[in-house]
Amino acid sequence: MKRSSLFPAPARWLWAMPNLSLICFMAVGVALLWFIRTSEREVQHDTLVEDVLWQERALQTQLKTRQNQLDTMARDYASGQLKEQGFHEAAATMLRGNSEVLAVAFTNEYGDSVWSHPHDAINTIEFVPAALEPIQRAARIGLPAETPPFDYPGSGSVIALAEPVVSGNRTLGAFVAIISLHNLLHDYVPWWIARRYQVSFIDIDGQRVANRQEQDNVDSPLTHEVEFGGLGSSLHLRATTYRTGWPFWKHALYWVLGGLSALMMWSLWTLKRHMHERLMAERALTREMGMRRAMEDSLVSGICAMDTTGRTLHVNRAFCRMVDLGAEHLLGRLPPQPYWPPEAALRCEQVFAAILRGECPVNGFSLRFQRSNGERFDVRLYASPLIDGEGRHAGWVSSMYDITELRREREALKASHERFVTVLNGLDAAVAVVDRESNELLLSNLAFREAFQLGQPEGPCCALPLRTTDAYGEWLDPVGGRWYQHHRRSTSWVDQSQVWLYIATDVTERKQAGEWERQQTEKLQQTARLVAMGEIASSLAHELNQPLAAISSYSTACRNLVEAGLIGEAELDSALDKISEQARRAGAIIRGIREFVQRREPKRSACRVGDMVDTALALLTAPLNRNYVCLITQREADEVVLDADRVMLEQVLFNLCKNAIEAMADIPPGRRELTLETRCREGWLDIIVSDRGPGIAPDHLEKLFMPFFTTKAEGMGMGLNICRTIVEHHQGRLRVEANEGGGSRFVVSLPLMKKTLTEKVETHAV
Amino acid sequence: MQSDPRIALVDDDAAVRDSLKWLFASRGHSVATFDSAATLLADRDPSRFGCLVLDLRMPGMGGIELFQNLTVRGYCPPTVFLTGHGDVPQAVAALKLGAVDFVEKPFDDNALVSLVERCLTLDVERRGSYERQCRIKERLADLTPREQEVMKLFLDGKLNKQIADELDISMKTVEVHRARVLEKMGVKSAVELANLLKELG
Repeated sequence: MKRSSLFPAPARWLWAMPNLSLICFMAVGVALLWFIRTSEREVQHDTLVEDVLWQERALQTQLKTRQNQLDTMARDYASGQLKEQGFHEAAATMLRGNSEVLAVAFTNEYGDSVWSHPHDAINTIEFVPAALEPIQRAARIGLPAETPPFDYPGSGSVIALAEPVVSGNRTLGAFVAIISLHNLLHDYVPWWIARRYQVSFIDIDGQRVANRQEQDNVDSPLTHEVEFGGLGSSLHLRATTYRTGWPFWKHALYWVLGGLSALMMWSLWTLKRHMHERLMAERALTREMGMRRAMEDSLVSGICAMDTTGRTLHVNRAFCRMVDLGAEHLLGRLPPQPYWPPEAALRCEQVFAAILRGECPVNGFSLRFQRSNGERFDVRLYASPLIDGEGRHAGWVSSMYDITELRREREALKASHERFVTVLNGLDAAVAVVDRESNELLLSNLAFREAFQLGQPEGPCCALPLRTTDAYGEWLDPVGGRWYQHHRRSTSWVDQSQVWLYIATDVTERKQAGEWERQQTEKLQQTARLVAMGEIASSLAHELNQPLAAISSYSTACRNLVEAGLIGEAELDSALDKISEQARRAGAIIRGIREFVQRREPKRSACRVGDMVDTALALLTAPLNRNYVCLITQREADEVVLDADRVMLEQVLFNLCKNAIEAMADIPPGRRELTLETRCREGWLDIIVSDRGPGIAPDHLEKLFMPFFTTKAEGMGMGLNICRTIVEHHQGRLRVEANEGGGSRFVVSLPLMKKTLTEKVETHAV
Repeated sequence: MQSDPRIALVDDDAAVRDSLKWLFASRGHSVATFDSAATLLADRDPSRFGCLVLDLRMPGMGGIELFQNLTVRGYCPPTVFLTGHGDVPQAVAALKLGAVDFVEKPFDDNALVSLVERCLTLDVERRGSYERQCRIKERLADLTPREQEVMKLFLDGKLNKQIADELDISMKTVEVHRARVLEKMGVKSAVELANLLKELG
């Protein structure tokens, strides 16, 4: 967050003030220091100038003194009092007392040295034109002179003082003193000057020719130079102050000032940072508070805090909304609360007392409250101890949820589920939901459990009874012996897994009814056949009646005519013709009937046993399925070829099988089993039809093949008789015996042909 | 032989028709033969015959159906059915409908002729009675609805006054109606009228 936006405008001003004052403070401090320093320098400079002037004067005084001594010598010489001896004495005295005087000499008017002390001291000057010239001038003109500095062997830079000897109007020469500038400085600069300044002589070229220096730090800006010996002098005296270190207190002052400023800045910055942090914290707190408030207010659960005595301390908006009361009506109240409905006040009181005792069950309390308009609503109320910031137990906080709608929904759901279960259990059909992969039974209804005698419906178990693969079909429960029509459909279960939904309807009754109906239909057809036979008979009778009636009428008419004597020969002839005509007609009718009824003779041909069996089985498919009979075939002699009437033998097979099927009508469908075997043995072909029916009673065995013997309700008693007739017609045998394991077996034995089979087949093919 | 046969025979079998024609001829009756019900109905007036001999079983319209058809048309002469074996229940039904008798084939031929002769006699009686009834019905139909009402009440033995009260008319009007009823019906008294109507049943 940017700082500028952190502070409001007045606060920014407020913050600028200490900054500004700090800056002012520092500026003033710096200015003060500068001022002090400047004034100090001025004072120092003034002192320097004074000191330099004083020093120059002092040195000039020395030189003047030497000049005066030389003058004294000159006067003495001029007066003749001074001889060479005296000169040396005076010179020695001069040299002895003044270290700056290196040598004293007397030169003639040409400047040549006449006397010199020490000896030859002055000769060296001859080679210095700048020094020689003023000396010569002084000797000639008679005016004192002073030479510019020049190097004097072994003593550095020197100057020479020349004092002319004037006697009358002529000059006799000059006394010269060689003054060492170095010694001059050393001897006549006092300690207190030397301590403070570097004092040096500067020649006209600005070269330092003599120097007195006691300290090394000399490159100071503070320096002063005066002309040594008045205007026009070629020599300058210069003093340069040593760079002196600041005194400690001065440093300390600076440091203190700087330190204070730094301290102030630091403290200001720290303060600012602190303030900023405070401000940030305050904002975060405000935000947090706002957030918490918003969270609390946007909660759908009502929250109510109370102290240890049960006094309401705090309620959130949802609570107010739930009880439809303003917070001002709730805060600070002791029980009983206004939202306790009168009829449940006792319960509310108990619950609140329990909360105050600290009994807070995990599942909370279920209570009924009222709104201010008297509307009741159900809540679930959870309570927990209220621990304040210091970890003290300050009371209890309870949160409550309006569960009216929830309860209503739950009740509606329960009712819906009950309806579902009732409907499901009320269904006659057995309904089951089975997991596709594990075959686990997920849901079953009462009919299912009763039908398949399952124990606990909730326990995991496999629904084996319905493990069929067809979507639709009929299925026999081998345990209960009931028929079910089942319908299987794949569907998504509640957990999205793929399951089979089975609906099995008990169709045993319907099936029995269907069977009964079928029997009735068969009976009806039988009856219809009988009726048809009756009609045939009746129509035959009618047909016969016509010619008979005509014959009768003709003959009666003839008799009547004969009795009356009215008949002629021609008439009688005609009548007799008509009578015989009608008799013929009747005969034709009878013949027709005989042809209709007459049984046909067997027509033999080569035929394959397998083909015959196939045809018979094809005809049997419908009865087998209708009666739920399981067919077992053991066909070992399919390739055998017989010379027989194929249609008749097929008829025999069909008849025997049909009898077998009908014999098993009264046993459970699961055990209905028809076996058809064909096999060869020693020149005979055996065709065996076995059933699992009740078998044949011993007293029936003898009569079995007699015509009109039947055990069936609708039977004519002709089937087996005809069968035997047909079989015997083929030189075969038909016999019956008991089947092992229940039921009976009919064995048709037919003689095999003498010729080989293949030959026969070929012949047949040709 | 008489020119106008009084007996009608309907049978689909030519031999039967021919033999029966012979038979009736041998007893002095002429017979009109028809090979089917349709041909009889197509005749100019089937009711002019004195007796009908019908075969029960014929292709197309059967004997009973033909008989019913004729009954509806108006006067139906006495009828004898010829039946084959097993047709007895049908013949009985025909009797209930008003046939005179049935004869089972093969039949006693002279008994049949006698039966037909009886029928011819019966026909004369029935025909007279039928014509009378027709006349009475015509007269009754002549009556206005009010007259019929009045007639019904006085046949119940009610007095003129009672009739007037019941029908909410005057005595005089009742008397006028009564007189007109008697006049239209061609009788002299209420007793005579009652006897007349008794014939109708």
